[in-house]
Amino acid sequence: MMVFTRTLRDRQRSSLWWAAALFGFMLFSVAFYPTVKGQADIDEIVQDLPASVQALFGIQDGVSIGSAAGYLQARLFSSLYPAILVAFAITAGASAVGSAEEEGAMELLLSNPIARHRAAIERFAAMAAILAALTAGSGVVLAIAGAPVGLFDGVSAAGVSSAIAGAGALALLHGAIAASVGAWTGRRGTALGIASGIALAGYLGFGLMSSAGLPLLIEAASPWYWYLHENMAIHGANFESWLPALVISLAIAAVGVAKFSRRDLR
Amino acid sequence: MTEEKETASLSKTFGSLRAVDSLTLEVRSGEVFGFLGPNGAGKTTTIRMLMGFVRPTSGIADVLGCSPSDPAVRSEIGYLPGDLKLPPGYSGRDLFRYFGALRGFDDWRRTEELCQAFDLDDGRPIGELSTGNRRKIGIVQAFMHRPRLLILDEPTAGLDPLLQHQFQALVRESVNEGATVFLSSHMLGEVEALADRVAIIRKGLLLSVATMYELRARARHRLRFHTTERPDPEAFRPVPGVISATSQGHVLEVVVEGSVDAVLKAAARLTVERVETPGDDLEDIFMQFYRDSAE
Repeated sequence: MMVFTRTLRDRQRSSLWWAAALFGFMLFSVAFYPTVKGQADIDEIVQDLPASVQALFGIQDGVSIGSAAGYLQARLFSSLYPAILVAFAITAGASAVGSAEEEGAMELLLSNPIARHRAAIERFAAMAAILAALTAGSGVVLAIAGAPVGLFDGVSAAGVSSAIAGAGALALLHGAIAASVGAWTGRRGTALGIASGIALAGYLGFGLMSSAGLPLLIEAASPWYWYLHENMAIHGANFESWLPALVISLAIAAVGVAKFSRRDLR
Repeated sequence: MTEEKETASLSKTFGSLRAVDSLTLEVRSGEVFGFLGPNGAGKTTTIRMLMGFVRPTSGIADVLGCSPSDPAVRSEIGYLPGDLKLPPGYSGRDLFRYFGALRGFDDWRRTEELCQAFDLDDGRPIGELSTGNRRKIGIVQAFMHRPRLLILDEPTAGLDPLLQHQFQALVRESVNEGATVFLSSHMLGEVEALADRVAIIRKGLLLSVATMYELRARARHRLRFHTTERPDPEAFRPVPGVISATSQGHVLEVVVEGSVDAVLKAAARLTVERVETPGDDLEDIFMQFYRDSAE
């Protein structure tokens, strides 16, 4: 576990900055809830937006943005909240092997008696552990800050937890892609580019396809659909928001580790 | 005599480039084995195969009786890369503790001794250190666990002469304690000072493996006579063993292959004030190897 713990220590400072950005955004969003609480005129404004834009903004039929559940979905879960988690996971994932190898630090590490796959797994795991801590921390921040302003009125606690887990799993999936591409190629830029491209395509694809009336199979191709298609704050927890992303993340990471343990170092 | 390291017909190709071609080497236990070649000869690629960083395209490498891809063998290896890249945020101490834990030891007296010997402040972040000090960190991490086998790639590049001297003392001390050293370099002087045997490699091909003694015996000698009168180089050209004879003012320079006896006898006719034997004899044979194989 040496590589795991050392990687956690190495990323300590940058993780604190990510936590500050994430928690700061959440507090900012929560603080604005009282200004829109119970106001119906915002719903009238957003009604005129195209359906795809509504989907991207987390606006769903029959759920007022002025309600707690509508506000959570629109201002938090469909907004910068998952984006910050995804951005963190992609940069952390790309650095797990890709950056370290590109900087030359990986070769010196592997001159020690540690197997390649072990080094990669421990560094991936450290990335996932920090992501889990950020996600869990965001849940705590939301719980503490949201209750006094009535952000949980008529809201399913399990659903909110499920949405938070879903955002974490979505981020993990993109982090695993970045980590795996980095482990496959040994290049940070490639890892960042591919993972970010997939994140952006998935997000925009989710918005466009949600209004095009496509078969579910195509619509569900975007991981953002799994996470965002249902307002869990109202409908309660679901598995599709986090389980598929988690399983696929593990599979993608495993492919990256397998390739890394066989290929030549750069 | 046991073999600490052996490669059997080791080859590595990158696309159409054959970086190492059917290289067969055997390093004996307790020796300093010099691995000499110009830049781009395939030295580092060979070392990276021995460390398991790259896989041979064909052939087998045997390091301390194991495959290089077996991580356990690396606890017995001290490795100093030619292109040393250290994490800039770590201090030397951070790195030593981390690698020490990975190698499964926690006796820090040796590490402290090494830091003292090299006058290294291991508390400062590596990013703030000079090239020479970073190199020292590389040396300490390679030697700190008293490895059985040291694989050193251009070890004294970037070290000042005093530190080079200290490094050579450290290598000798390690060998006295039973370590085997594989020393790669493009500089003859570095290898000459330490190696028992030398392999010369060029464009991925092994040109020669010889002891330093054999190399020296094969070497040409350069003699420089400082005389009172103007010497006549023509008189030296027919002397047995003479490759060339030239003069400039009162200095006669004669290059001899093999014994210098006949030349000394011929020079007895001159009034010699001083004789110089510039120490570039091995450099000559080294260059000769390169030229011959280029033809």
